[in-house]
Amino acid sequence: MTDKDHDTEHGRLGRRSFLKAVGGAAAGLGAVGAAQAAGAAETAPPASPAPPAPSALPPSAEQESREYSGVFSYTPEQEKRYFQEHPGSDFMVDVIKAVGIDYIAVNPGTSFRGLQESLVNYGGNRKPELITVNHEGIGATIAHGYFKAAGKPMAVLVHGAVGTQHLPMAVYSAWCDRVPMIVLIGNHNEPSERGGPTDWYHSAQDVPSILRDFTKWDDTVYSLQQFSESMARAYKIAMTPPMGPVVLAIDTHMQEESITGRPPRLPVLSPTIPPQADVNALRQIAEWLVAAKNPVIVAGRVAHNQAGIDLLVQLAELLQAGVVDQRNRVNFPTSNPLSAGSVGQADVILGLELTGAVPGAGQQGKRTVTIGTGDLLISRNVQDFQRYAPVDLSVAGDAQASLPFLIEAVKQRLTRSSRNVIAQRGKAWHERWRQQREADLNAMRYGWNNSPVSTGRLYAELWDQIRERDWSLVSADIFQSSWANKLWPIDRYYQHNGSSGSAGIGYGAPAALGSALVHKQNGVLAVNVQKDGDLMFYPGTLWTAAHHRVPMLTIMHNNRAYHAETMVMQEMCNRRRRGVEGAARIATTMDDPPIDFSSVAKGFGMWSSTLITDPAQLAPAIREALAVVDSGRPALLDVHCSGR
Amino acid sequence: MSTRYLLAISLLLGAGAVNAAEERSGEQLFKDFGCVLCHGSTGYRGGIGGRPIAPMQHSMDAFRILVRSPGNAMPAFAPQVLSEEQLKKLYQFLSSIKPSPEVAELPPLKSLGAGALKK
Repeated sequence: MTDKDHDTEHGRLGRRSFLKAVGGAAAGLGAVGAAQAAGAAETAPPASPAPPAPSALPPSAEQESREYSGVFSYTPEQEKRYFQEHPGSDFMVDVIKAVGIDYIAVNPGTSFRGLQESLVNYGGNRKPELITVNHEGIGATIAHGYFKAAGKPMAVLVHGAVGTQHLPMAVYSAWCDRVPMIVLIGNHNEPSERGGPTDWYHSAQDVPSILRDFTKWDDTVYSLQQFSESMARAYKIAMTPPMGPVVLAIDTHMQEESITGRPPRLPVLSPTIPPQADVNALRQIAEWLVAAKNPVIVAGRVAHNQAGIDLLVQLAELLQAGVVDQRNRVNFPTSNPLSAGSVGQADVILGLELTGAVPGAGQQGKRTVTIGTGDLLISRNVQDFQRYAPVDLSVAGDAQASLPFLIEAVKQRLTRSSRNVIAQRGKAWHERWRQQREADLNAMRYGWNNSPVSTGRLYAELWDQIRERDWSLVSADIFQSSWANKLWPIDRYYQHNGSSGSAGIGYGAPAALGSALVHKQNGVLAVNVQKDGDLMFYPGTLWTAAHHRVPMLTIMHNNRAYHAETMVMQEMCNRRRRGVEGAARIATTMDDPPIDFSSVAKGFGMWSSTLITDPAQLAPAIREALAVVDSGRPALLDVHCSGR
Repeated sequence: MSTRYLLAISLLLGAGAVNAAEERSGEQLFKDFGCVLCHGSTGYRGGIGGRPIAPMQHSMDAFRILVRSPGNAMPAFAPQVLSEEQLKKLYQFLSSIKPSPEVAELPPLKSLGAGALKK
């Protein structure tokens, strides 16, 4: 029972009860009062004698405000008890803004409610903006794809031990792919501040340890000043080649406490200049490259941006060296004939930012040299470092940062006679490139009218409708016979995402969405050719795309199977010479029942077509879907496709 | 009958035998046996390095040898796994694959430079 009720029960009207009673009485007189007012305005004489003025009129807003102020003001003790000024998490938002984080993917959790509130109300939910996800793995993979288009990291905000345990595969892919992201984990670090059993379930003593095998650095943060410094350090470490994910565990209590005493200082972010390879080693490499009969460059994760592509083109054209682009990034334009490189006839192989073995290394008559940062970041547990690579010269250094010196060193060693030899070499690569394209174009027309639709036709029809636009293929095409990388002119850094890095599944849709977030800002059309088995890991990604109005065209490569696994299962059957009917299809297929991705997309609020099985339907359906994307919304075309 | 039960019976019979009442088409077998991974859905070329096997340029006898004892990275398909009847169906399917209209006649391919590449 409240004090107010208590007063009423004892026959004494509380102030609010009194006013209510008076108001009710006044309502009965209101019509008269209103008429009086109207009459006064028109200066007409009253029709009858005026009634007596009411003893109590409804209070004006000014009166009410004045009278209520006594009731709704708080004592200093109450103010202190109920309310907070200068919450610590407001300062954390300032720090996050200061390092330039534009997006934070989040699935809500109580361990970071303080920061979440500050991001929305203090930070205005703008730079950074919260991206709502239905699984932490989606959030981290969005961050993965975001970096590939933006060239800078975004953050992922997760809840204690439970949210963090949803992260590992997604963070592992980023680690393998040398992609930076900042993982912020809300955690009740201090046990005495935990509220109840749930807080204990959701907390960990050393929560970053869940991700430590495949992150570059982590810190557990207890104070705001520490957060400021650790956030800047985290950003620098993540972005210094070899890049990778970093983790900060941020104490819940710290977020929710007020700032008192000396205020913490904002960080000054000073990006780390990437390390260049040793100059004497680069001179030696230049010597070998110029003297080579057939030098070939193998590019792993070389380019950090368009400048990296331009540098690699410069080096390759100087030497007329063929380039093998492993397509983990766009390192080299597919429309440049030197992209037809092959190590088969190479006598000098230059490997740039490769992971593990260098193609052709160790073979007789081949000298192999590498420049890269791989040796600077080695896991103690996970085996992504691959097989030991025996090479003739291995140089530590960021390849892109080392290319300018190498290019100059090559230029200094070129002679008139060497230039003639080099020119002939270039013609051979050009002819090889032309022949490859012709063969690939011929291959594309096989099964042109087949149903399910051939992946060749899918990529041809898609290209026909996007080629006049500024586009980006925000998905990998390796499971669709690499049609885009074979035939589309992928020449700009942002035009292709590449693969997950870990060869894991579940990367496709969220990574595409992360890139599309960037392309939305730049007016670039994002196109995602989406594997069906991959989408089933994180179908909620479609909802996030619809919710945030991210324009992106998704075309389902709906082949109703994990085809690669069908093959390896068949291989086992063959080796053992046995197999019940369809043995290789058991636990590798998704055709009974077939998944209706169109309905799935619609259920998440995304525009979608009906299932396309007739290849003749494809072109008009793409046109219709693009119109939806042009209106600023995502669209999904469900296409029943051939296996590859 | 559950799949698990079928599997158990087959193993007990020691045959691991191919179902005699085979009704799958050659195209379906091509997919089911994982051929598409290396050779592509239309047999021309796949994503991971298989040789072109369509249009068919071998006799049935030569095709049998290539499938039963490939001598390269391809796994050998023994008769216990791929019956003679299935092998014939595969051969017929691959032999039936024909090139679609000429490259230059297809607008989407033309936009990829098909016309310009023709000598």
